[in-house]
Parts: sequence; structure tokens; C-alpha cells
Amino acid sequence: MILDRTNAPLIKDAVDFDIQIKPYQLYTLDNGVKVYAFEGGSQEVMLLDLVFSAGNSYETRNWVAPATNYLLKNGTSSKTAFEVNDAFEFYGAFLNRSCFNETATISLHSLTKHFTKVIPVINEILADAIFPENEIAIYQQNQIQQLTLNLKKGDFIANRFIDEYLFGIDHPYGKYSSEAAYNQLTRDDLTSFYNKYYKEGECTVFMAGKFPSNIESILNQYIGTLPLNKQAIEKPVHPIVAASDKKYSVVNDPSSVQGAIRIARHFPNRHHPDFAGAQVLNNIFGGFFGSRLMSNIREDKGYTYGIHSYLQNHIQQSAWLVSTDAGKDVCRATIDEVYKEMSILRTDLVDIDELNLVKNYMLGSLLGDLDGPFQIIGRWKSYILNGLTEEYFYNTIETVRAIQPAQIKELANKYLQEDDFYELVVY
Amino acid sequence: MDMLMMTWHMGGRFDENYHATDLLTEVLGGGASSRLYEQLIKVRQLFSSISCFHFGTIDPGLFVITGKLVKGISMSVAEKAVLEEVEKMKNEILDEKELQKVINKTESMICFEDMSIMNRAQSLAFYELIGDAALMNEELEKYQAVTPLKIQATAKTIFEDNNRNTLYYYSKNMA
Repeated sequence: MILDRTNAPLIKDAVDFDIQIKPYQLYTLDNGVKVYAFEGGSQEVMLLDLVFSAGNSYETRNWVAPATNYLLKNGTSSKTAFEVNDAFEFYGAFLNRSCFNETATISLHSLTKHFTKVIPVINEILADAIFPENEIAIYQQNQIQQLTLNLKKGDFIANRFIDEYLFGIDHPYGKYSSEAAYNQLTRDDLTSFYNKYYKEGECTVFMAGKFPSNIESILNQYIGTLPLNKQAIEKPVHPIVAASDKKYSVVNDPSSVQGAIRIARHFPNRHHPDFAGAQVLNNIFGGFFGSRLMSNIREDKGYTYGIHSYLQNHIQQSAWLVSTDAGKDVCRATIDEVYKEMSILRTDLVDIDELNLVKNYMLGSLLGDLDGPFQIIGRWKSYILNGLTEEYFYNTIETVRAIQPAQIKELANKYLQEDDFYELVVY
Repeated sequence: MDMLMMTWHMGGRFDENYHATDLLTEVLGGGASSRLYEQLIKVRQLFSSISCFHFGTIDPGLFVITGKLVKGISMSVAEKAVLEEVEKMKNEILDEKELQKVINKTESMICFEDMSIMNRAQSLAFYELIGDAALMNEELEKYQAVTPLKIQATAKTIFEDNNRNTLYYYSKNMA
């Protein structure tokens, strides 16, 4: 196509686009592992994401799940940690692992032409990780040192405490690391967690990019032969034990010049019919740089460099949070202004121009997020792991397009009530 | 917690050693199979974290090695250990396989960067800024042309004691 550069391109609002998400391919390996694949993109690269039911919901002692996930690639019967890393890095491949609440993942980024060289090492890690004592000791030493450093920071403390108040210290969403938890980790803890939740665990595969032509048989050879998905993993039920007191002030560093402020309430998960509308309200409130919290508390008052509100991404139950760091002497004033903004949203109808701006911002961000095959499979992954379908994608877009000021006000009255919020300042 | 930071002056984006310098940071500090990570964090356990990078500036810039010391390790021991790894780059010829690894990693990084439209636009703009957008397509070849001898020559140019600045950061309660 030859572009006519004498005419400027038409400007079209994001809300006017017909936004669609491309479908995935689904197939099942010989051992029952499901593979969700999205083939596409301009580069000869691919992503393989193995998702295990191995998040911290499944551990019986604190931090066993994240430690197992972290140390998965630190040695097998025939390879040292260095040799495992070198096996990936020699081919320019990157192996990452992450532990969440319900799930834990192993992600491989690889050039398509080298995929067959590195997939055998993933098979080896899943069949034969040995968690050497020495590797565990180095992990403990370095993690404790990092934790000691982080514990000096008010915002780090604030993030831990607010989750604890909302969910309880024994809940997967509320618990956090400690020196004692690191010290108590044993090789037995890690190997038994590994055997149950990885080696003979429950696995789902997400894959995107350009695939080798015989991808299905390669995956069957290296993933499909593993003893995965033999039996359903029991999903533990963790009751939410929220704190009874709602207001907290913690002194962590008396010499600090700032306070870390967190204001939070419980909120349903994405299956709730209010979720999409609440996201629109959240954006008006504190969800982007032009939000009311930012305009008032940063731009007008100058109490902070930035203030944000957001809905957490949890599967069981979400939370609605306001998060900022403010000067020590203006922390109280900042909190008062946050409540004042809630009150205005409950009382006054949002201006139609402001609402339209936020709608455009949200749908524009959605379009920007769907840039490339990895992002598309990432969105599918999030829906599938949350038990959602493409209906959620289209319903959310429809809600954003259709929502009116009266509904925003109604949602504010339902959810932005000062008394429902936990409040924490860490100095 | 104590921290060590060393910087050396290096050439800019048009320096003939630029691509070799970039690969040198990868050999020393790129990922869990790099030399500093394996030797100083895993084998000798002197650092709890360590990284090696350069700023990628158009004008002459800085080559950096920085790390946090394991509690109880003295600064002089840590510094000496870093310098030993640096000296090896000057005195030994890099194994072909290790060079191939960092070139493969660079090829991979370039491919992943080019995936998103935003990154492609940024790269095109950057190469146009430094002379010609078409340079974007020649970048990988320039890395592939780097030899073990070139890496050694580059290390010798950069890792001179009188070309280095060192910062020792001592925590109050440990100094």
C-alpha cells in the first residue's frame, strides 16, 4: 500500500473501534495437559508458559512455594545450577519462574530456531530437580539480606501490612516473608512440594509466537510424557480473616521524611457484575495520570509525586486500594482529601466530557495492550485462570462504552464509603 | 549493608569497540551463567547481588560493575575479587563458546525487542537520530563480527586502573 502523505490520517477515538480478541488454538497432550496456543507475530520468537497449581495457597509452611519455584532450576542429577542456566543462555533463551497465590509458572522465551535445543532442559527440570543444600543456603542468605534492606522502607512494610489487614496473616493473599520463614526452609520441604505440585502436578501450557512446524509432537515428547495431571490437585480453602480495627499508624523509621499511605477495602472478584463498571469509576477516581486523586493531591496540593488507586488481580476476592507516599506533615491532609474525592463522587454526577475521556483512555489502553502475540496469549491466560471466557472481554468493552454518570454515582455510593476502608500510614 | 561500585570510562556509540564492550558486560554480568554471578555470588559467596552494565550513551560513557556485599565480607576482599575477574578478561582469550553464548543472547534480545510496534518505532527513531534508520538492520551483524581477540583488546583499553573510579558504600551500623 502506498501512503498518501499529503493527507493527515483521520483521528478516530478508541471507543469507535470494533475491538476483537483473536482466538487461541487448544489441544491436549498425551498426558492430558492442555495447551492454549496463539501463533503469530513478525519475529521468529516464541513464549512457552507452564502454569502449575503450585502457588502459595498450597504450601503448609510459609514460603515453601516461592522457594521451590525459585530453586527449580538450581540443579538436577546431571546438571549444576550453572549448567542449567548455561543450557538456556547459550541459545539466547530466558527461563523465568514466578510464584503467585493460586499458580506458579515457568516461562521460556526462546528463538524459534533454538526451541528444540532448550525444551529438553525444561523436561529435565520437571522430572529431576534436586534442590542442592548449598543452593538453598545461598538462597536463604541472599534473600534474608535483601529482606533486611527492604524492611527499612516504609512502602515495603505498608504493602505487607495492608494485605495482612485485608486477608489475614495465614491467608495466601495476606502472608509475607520473614527471616524465620527463610531460615526454617528445609530441603525436605522443597522436594516434597516439588514432587507433589510440579513433578506430578497439575499443569496448563500457554504458548505464543512463531512455532516450529512439528510443535505438537515436540511438546508431546518433552511435556506430554511427564506424569502430570494424573490426579486432580485438591484446592485448599483459605478463609479470609480480616482485621477488626480499620485504622493503623506504624512507625518504622523515626527519621523518615515521608509516610507510606494505603487505604483499602475488600472488593468482589471479576465474576461480579459490578467489576467492569467499578474499573471505570476507579479510573476517574485514581486510575490514571489525569485522575481526580492525581489532579487534586499531586497537581493542586503538591502533597505527593503520585497517587494511584487500583483493583487487585486476585482470583478468590479482590481489593480496592489507594496507594501513595506523602510528606510526613501532610499525610493526614492527604487521607482527608482522598475521602473528600470519594464524597464528591458519591454526591455529584461526573461530567460527561470527563467520563468520555476516561472511556477513551481505557479502550485505548486495551488496544495498546494487545500489541503482539505474547500480550494476546497473556490476556487469554488471565481469563482462563480466572474461569472467564471471551464474553468477559466483550462485556467489559460494552460496559465501558455504555456506562452513564448516574451509574458511576451509584457505584460510588455502593463502594466508595469511608467506613468500609482500612487505613494505614507507615512512617 | 555495604555496597561496591566501580566505573570505567568507555567509548560512545560510534566507538569501534562499542559492540565488543556491550558483549563484555554480558560475559561479566548477563544472567545467572555470567562470570560475576557464578564466581562471586555462587562459588565464593562474596556478593548477594551483582550487576555489570553500561549506559549506552551516544557520547563516551561509563562501564559499571556494582554489587551488594554479603554481610561480614570486607570491602577489600570484595573489590579484589571483582578485579580478578576483570583481569582475566585482559589476560585470557575468551572461549569461542562463551562468545557464541553472548552473541546468541544479543540476537535473541534484538528479536524480542522488535516484537512490539512501540519498540520498533523507538529503535527506528534512535537509529535515525544517530544517522540512519537503516542501521537497525545492521546491528546484529556488528555483534556477530566481534572476535575473542577484539573482546580482549577492548578489555585492555577499558580496564586500566587510572581509568577507574570506585565508590565504597558502608552502612552506618556495619562500618
